[in-house]
Amino acid sequence: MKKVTNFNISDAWYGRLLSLPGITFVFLLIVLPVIFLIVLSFLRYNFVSPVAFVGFKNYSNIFSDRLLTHALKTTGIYTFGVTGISLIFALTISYGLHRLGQRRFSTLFRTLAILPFAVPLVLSGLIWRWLLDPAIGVMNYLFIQITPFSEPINIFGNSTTALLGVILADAWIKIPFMTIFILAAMDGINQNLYEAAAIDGATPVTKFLHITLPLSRNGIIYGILITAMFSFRTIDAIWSMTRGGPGKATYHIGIYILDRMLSLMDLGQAAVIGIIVFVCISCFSAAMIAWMKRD
Amino acid sequence: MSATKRVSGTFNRILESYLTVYIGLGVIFVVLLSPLVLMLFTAFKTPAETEMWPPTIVPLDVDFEAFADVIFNSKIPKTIVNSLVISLSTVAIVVVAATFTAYGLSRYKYRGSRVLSYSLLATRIIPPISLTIPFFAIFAWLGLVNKKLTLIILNVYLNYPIVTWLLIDAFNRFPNQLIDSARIDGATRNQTFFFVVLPLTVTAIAAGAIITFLFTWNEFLYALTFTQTEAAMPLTVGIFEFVGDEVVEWTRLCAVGVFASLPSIVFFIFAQRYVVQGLTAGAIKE
Repeated sequence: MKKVTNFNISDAWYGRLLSLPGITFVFLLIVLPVIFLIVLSFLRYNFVSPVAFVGFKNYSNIFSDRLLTHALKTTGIYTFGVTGISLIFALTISYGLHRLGQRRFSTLFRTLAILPFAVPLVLSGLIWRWLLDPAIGVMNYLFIQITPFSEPINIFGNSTTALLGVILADAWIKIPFMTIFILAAMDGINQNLYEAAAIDGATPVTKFLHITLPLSRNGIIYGILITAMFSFRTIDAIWSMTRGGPGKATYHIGIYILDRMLSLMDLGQAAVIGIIVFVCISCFSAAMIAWMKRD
Repeated sequence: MSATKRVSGTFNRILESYLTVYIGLGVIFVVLLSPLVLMLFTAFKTPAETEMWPPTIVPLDVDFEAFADVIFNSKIPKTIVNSLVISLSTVAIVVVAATFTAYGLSRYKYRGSRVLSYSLLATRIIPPISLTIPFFAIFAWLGLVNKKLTLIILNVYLNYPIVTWLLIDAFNRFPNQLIDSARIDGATRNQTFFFVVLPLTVTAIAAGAIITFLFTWNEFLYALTFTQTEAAMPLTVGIFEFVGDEVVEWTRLCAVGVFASLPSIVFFIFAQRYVVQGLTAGAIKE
């Protein structure tokens, strides 16, 4: 008897039928803009003068712009700061939760650990702007109480500290985000290993360094990769706190793109910066993935 | 020698103790969660109280004016509706499309399907901020600026690859024997998919739906670039109604903040497993 199927097509065609429409749509939505991004970088495209091919003029303009080096430097410090602070806290929190295992309050603690991630990043910027405010900010008040300083710090009035302010607001959201990845990796570690190590006389520090860290290595690297990638291409917290100021102290490359695109309406030059971000992130990701694969 | 040994022994015993872990985590959580608590408290303060020095923590008088004002006298309710429409539409499209795509890629392999799966994952490297520029040109040309549809399309682009990858992983782990025995019992491929596979992978699908909702609800870059008026503006941009160049209305802002964080907090409390599953899919083993 012939088997009844609603389509008389092969399994391979059934697979194509299920998957190709969505993939085509999303590739159109991604690949076409990527191509158009490259094309735009060779065009004069500013909604005022007619569109024209200008060769490498946008590239030479951007590469000779002092703001590019400044924005890259700012972005580098920002990315490093956010990732570093998040990593230290996320490692500590994950290790604590991992040690607790299924003990009392572990479910509650796990929820508390990721709660700040509920706050939209742009709102985190606003909250931290308020906490750090020199006239009414709670953090400033605590700072005066705890440290010998008697004057509140106007963190966004000073170009060296302003960057620290935006980093704090972003790191606050990235700590729980990174904790999710690192904790998931640590949860995969067999608890018996710790007991075996304890019998051999391992101290808590050696257990952390020789069991926990190496066995959750890929989760940690992945957390670093994705957090660094997100902070390299962000605008949210900076937009709501300083918009790149004071002066250009927090001039992240994302703000640089938005300035060229929305204020100057120069899509050609914005596209060049967009390509620079793309190249930086690709190189960084490739390096991190290579590190993950190396054993 | 024995003295130093005793000191390090005590030190190790303290490190080893669970009490230390509880205290350490407790201290970190107080620091980590205090901004959230302060935001909640400040939403119930009077505007005058937010100007006081030293700043108050708990409201002196509980005042609902900020909430009332945000709900009845601002464009915030409209932007919340916009955020809901955009997020829920994105979730619906992403979940349906990604489920079909992932099942096709995972179960009915064809030439190139492996490459397609990996290239979907690779699209995550493309920075959304770089694509803002071509999108800006394209959507201006199509006249699709300041429309909710634009944000739905863009959020689908942001989430579809992640969710597809999550579901490929879930379908790959689905036991083959179940599918084979259903087919032997005479079920068609479609019946097997809808009545055998889907009910058993529903947790992964829920995880995909939840992370899509969270990412879309919190999305800011495209919302800022593509909306100008409250017709399409989502909450993440609408928040700036209370942020002036000089003065920020902190009580109202905190009230909006409570609304903006609420859906995610609810998910974290009641569906934490799904959030974690959704975010870590494809992260550990790749």
